[in-house]
Amino acid sequence: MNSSILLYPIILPLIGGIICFLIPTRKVKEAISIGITLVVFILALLIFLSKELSFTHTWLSFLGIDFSLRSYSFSSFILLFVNLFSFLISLYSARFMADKFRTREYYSYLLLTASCAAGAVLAANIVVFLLFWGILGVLLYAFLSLGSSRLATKGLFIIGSSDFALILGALFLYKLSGTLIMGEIEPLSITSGLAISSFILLMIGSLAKAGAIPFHGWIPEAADQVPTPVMAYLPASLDKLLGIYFLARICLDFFKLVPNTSLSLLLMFIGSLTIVVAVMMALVQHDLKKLLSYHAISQVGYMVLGIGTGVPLGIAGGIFHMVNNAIYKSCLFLGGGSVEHRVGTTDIDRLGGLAKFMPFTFVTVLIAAFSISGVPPFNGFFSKWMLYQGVIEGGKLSGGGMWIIWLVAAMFGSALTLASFMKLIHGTFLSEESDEVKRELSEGKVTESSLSMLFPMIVLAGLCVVFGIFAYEVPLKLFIMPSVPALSSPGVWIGWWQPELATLLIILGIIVGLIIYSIGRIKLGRESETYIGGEVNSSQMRASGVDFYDTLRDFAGLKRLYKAAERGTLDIYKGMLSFAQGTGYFLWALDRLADLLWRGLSWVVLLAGRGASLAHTGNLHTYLAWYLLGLVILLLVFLVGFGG
Amino acid sequence: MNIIPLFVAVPLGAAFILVLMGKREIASDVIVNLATLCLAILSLVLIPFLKNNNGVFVYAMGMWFPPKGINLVLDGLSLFMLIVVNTVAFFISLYSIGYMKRFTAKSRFYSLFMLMLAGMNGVVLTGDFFNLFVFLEIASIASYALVAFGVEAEELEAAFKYMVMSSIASVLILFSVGLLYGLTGSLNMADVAGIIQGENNLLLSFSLILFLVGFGLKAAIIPFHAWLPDAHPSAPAPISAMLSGVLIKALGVYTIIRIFFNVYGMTTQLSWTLMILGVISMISGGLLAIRQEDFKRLLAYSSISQIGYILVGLGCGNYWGLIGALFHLLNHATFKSLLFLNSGAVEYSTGTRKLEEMGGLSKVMPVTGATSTIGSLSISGIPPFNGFWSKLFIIFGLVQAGHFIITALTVLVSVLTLAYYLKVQRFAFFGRLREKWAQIKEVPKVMCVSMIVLAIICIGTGILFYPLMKTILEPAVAVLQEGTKYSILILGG
Repeated sequence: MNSSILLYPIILPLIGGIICFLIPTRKVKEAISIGITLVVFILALLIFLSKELSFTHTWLSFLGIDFSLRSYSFSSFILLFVNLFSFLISLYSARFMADKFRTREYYSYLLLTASCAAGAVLAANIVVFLLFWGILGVLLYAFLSLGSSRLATKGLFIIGSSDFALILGALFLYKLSGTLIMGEIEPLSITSGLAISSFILLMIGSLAKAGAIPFHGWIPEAADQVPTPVMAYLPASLDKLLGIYFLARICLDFFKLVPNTSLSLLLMFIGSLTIVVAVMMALVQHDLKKLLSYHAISQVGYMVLGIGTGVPLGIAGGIFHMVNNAIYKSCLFLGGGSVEHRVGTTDIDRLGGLAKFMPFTFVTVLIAAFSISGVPPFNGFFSKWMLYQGVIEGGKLSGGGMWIIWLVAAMFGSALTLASFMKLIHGTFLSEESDEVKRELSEGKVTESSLSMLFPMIVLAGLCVVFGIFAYEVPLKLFIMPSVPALSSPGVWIGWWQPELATLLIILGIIVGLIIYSIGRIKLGRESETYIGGEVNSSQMRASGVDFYDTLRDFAGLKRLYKAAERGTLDIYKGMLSFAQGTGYFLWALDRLADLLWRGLSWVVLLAGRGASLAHTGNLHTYLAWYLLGLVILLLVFLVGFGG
Repeated sequence: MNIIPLFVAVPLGAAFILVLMGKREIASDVIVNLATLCLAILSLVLIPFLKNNNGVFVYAMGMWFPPKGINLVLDGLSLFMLIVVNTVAFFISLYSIGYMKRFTAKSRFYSLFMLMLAGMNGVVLTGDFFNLFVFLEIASIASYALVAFGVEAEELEAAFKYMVMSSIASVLILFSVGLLYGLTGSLNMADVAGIIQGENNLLLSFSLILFLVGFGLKAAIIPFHAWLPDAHPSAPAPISAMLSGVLIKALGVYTIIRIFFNVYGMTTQLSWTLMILGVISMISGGLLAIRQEDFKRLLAYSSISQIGYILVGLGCGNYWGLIGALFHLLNHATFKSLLFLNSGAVEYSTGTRKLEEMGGLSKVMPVTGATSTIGSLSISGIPPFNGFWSKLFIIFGLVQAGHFIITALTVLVSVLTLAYYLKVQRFAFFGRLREKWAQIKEVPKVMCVSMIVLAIICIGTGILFYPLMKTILEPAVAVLQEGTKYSILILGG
C-alpha cells in the first residue's frame, strides 16, 4: 500500500476542522464531522490491516528533521481506536449538541483533535511527535474553554507545564541517544543521572496526559462544566490512549524499564495511589459525571501499575486495560450524557427509576459498569486479571514482599469501584423516581434516546462483551500480542482463565438461578406497598443511594484524608498556585524595593530638572556667558597640548 | 546633472516671486506647495541617479572647476539631507495653508520660508567654505525673521536673543573660515581637506574649535543651546517644526559631520568631545523637558535631548553608531515636525500652549490626538516605530565600542523621554474633556493630511527600516566612513 495513506488521517480531519469553523450551518457541520471521522476510521482500519508503513517528507532539512510518520502494530492499533472514538463521539454529538451553544467551535475542535491525535500516534520523529502533542494541549484548552475560562486555564497550566517537562525530557533523550527518530533509539538502560531525569520528565508528560494523580486536577472540575461528549472523548478515551501509548513507548522502546528498580516502583506507587485515592473520592460523589470523572482517574492507576511492573504480562495488561477503559468509560459518559439529555440533570439525588423508561441506556451502562468493576466475564475483568498476574510475576522476580501492597491496592480499588457503581446504578436507574424525574415524566420528556445517540453506546457495550468473552481470539490476538512482542503465549500464564467456558457457566448459573427464583416466587412471593409505620410514603423517604458510603467519610482516619482531598491537597495545580503565590510575594518585595529606587531616581530627576530650569533665567547675558565658557573649556581641552 | 542647482534656485526664485504676490493668498499657497513638492520629488529622483554615478557627483558652478571655482557636491550624505529637508518642507508648507490663515501677510511668510529652504539646500550641497557661510547666513537671517513673525513682545525678545547668539556663532565661523584660508590658501572644502591632511598645529586646532562652537550653537548643543527654548516655541508652529525638525540639523549637525568627518578627519579626542557634549545635551535636555508646562517649550527641550542622541551616535563612530545617528536624524525630522504640527493644531483650536489648561482633546480632535500619540511613541523609542530602531542602532554601536556607561545613560534618557511624552499625552489628549473645549473642532483638512502623512512616515520608516537603510542611509554612512578620502574623491571626480 502507498505509504502516503498515513497522511490522510491527519489531513482530512484538519481540513474538516477548518471547514467546520467557517460554515455556520449546523447540519452541514454534523455531516462533515460524521463523514470525515467515518472515512478516517475506515482508513485507519486499512492501515491497521496493512503491514508496517512509513512515510517521510523533507521538512526542516537544515536541522536534519524530516516529517516522518510510521505505522506499525502498536501505533496503528491506537490509531484505529482513536478514530473509532472520534467517529462514535461525533455521531453521538449530532443529537446531543443540537441545542448547545458554540457548536461551531465544538466540531472544529473535535476534528482538529482527531487530526493531531493521529499525528501524535503516527509520528516517527520526536519533533513531529512534540509538535502534535503540543497542539493537543492547546486544543484541550479550547475544549475546556467551552466550560469556563478558569477551568481552561487550569487545564492549560497542568498540561502546558507537563508538556514542558516532556520537551525537556525529549531533549535529554536526544542527547543520550543521538537521534530524533524514534525507531532508531536503542532502548537505553536507566542508570545515568541524565537518563533518570529524562525518563522521569517524559513520564511526567505522559502521566499528565493520561490524568494520573497528581496531574488530575482539571478532570473532575471539567466533568460538570464541559459538554458530556467532550468528557467521553478526551479524559475518558483519547487522553488515556495517547498518554498510556506514550508511556508504553517510553518503557518499551526508549528505555529498558527493569522490574523492581526504583523507577519501576515509583510508577507502581503512582499507579496504586491513583487507584485508591481517586476511587475513594468517587465513592462520595453525588454527581453522575463527577463520579465517572474520578473513575477516569482511578482507572489510569491500573494502567500505570501494569506498565510499571516492567514484566511483559503486566505491560500487556496495562495496554489492554487502557483499551478496555477507553471503551467502557466513554460508554459510561455517553450513558450519563443520555440521561442528562433527557432529564436535564446528572445529580444522582434527583434521578431514579430510569431503567423502565430508558432500557437501552440502562443495559449499556450496566454492562459498562460491570466491566469497569471487573466483573467476569466482561473485558475489565480480563485486563485486571492480566495485571494482577503481572504484579505477582514481577513480585516473584524480586522476592520481596512489596508486590502484595500493589496487589491489595488494585483489588481494593476494584472492590470500591464496584461499590460506587452499585450506588450509581441504583440511584440513577433502579430506585424510585425522584420529583424531578416525575415532573419530566409528566411532560413526556423521559423516553429512550434517539438511535444516533444509542448506537455509539451499543457499539461500545458490545465491545465490552466481545473483548471480555473472546479476549484471546479478538483483542489479544489482534492488538495486544503484536504490540508487546515479549509477551509469552497465554498457555503459560500463571492463572489460566477461559472466558468462553466461564461465560457459559455463568449464563448457565443465571438460568438455573432464574428458574429457581421463578419457581420460588410462584409459591412464596407477595408484593405490597412499602409500609413505614403508617407514615405517608413521600418522595423524601426514597432511598436514592447517594449516601451509601457517607459513613466512609466519617471514619476517624479517612475523614482527614477526604477533607484534604476536597481542599485539593493532592492537586498539583493548587500546589503550584501556592508556590506561585509565594514567589509572587517575594517578587513583590523585590518590586517594592525597585520601586523605592525608581522613586528616588525620579525625585533626583525632577530636582535636577528644577535646578536646570532655574539656571535658564531668560537673561541673554547669562546665556552668552555660558557660550563663552563653553568656548573656553573646549579651547583648553584642545589646545593645551600645544601650550609648550 | 543640471537639476542640482535647482535645489537652491527654485526656492530662491520662489521667494522673490512671493514677495510680489502681496495679498494673493491662494496663488502663494499654490506656488509654495508646487515648489516644495517639486523639490521633494527631485530629491527622491536623485537616489537612482546617484547610484549610477558611484555615489558622488560634482557640479561646478558656471563651469569654473574646483579648487578655484565654486562647486556643488552631491554625495550620499548630501542626498540624505536633501531628502529629509525637502520632504519635511513640503508637509510643512501644506500645513501652512491652513495654519497661516491666522496671520496677515501670508505671502511674506512664504517668502521667508522659501529663503530659509534655499539656504538649507545650499548649505547641504555646497562644497565651498565661504559659500557655506553665505547659505548659512541666508537660512539664519530668514529664521530670525520667521521667529519674530508674530511681532508680539515675546516673539521679538526671542528673535532678538536668537539673533545675537546666532550672529556671534556666525562670526566665529567666518573667523574660522578666514583662518583656514590663511593657512591653506583655498576655500574649497575638498582642497582644504587635501592640504591639511596629516598636519597638526595650533591654528588648525583653533579653527576646529571655532567651527565646533559656531556650528554647535546652530545645532543647539548644550551649553550653546540657550537661544532654542525661546526661539522655537515663539515661531509659528510650521516654522517651529522647520526649525526643530530640519534647520538645526542642516545648519548644525550636517555641517559638523561634513567638516569634522570629511575635512579635518575624526580623532579620538574629537570623538570623545562629541560624545560628551551629546551625553550632556541628551540628559540636560530631557531633565529640562520634563518640567515644562508649555507644550512647544517641552518639544523644544526635547529637540536638544534628541540632538544629543545624534551626537552620541556620531561620536561613537562605528557602523552602527553612524547609521543610528543618521537614522535618528531622519526620524527626529519626521516625528518632531509632526509633534510641532500637533502643538500648532492644538494652539489653532484652543488658542493655548499651556498643558494644564488642556485635557481630553482626543475626543474633539481625533486626528491630532492619534497622530501625536504616534509621534510620542516614536520619539520615546517604542517598537515598532522608527525611533525605536534608530535608538537601538545607537545602542548597538555604543555596546560594540564598549561605552557601557553611556549606553546605560542612553537607555535611561529614553525612559525619561517616554515620561515627558506621557505627560504630554496625559495632560493634553487623554483624560476628561474640559467644558470650555467641548465646542472646538478638529483643524482644517489640509493640516490633518500633513499630520497624518507624517504619522504614516513614522510608522512606515519603523516597519520598512531595512530597505530604507539600504537605499539612503548606507550611502550616507559610506561618506562618513571614507573620512578625509573625500578630498580625493571630489577633486579626482
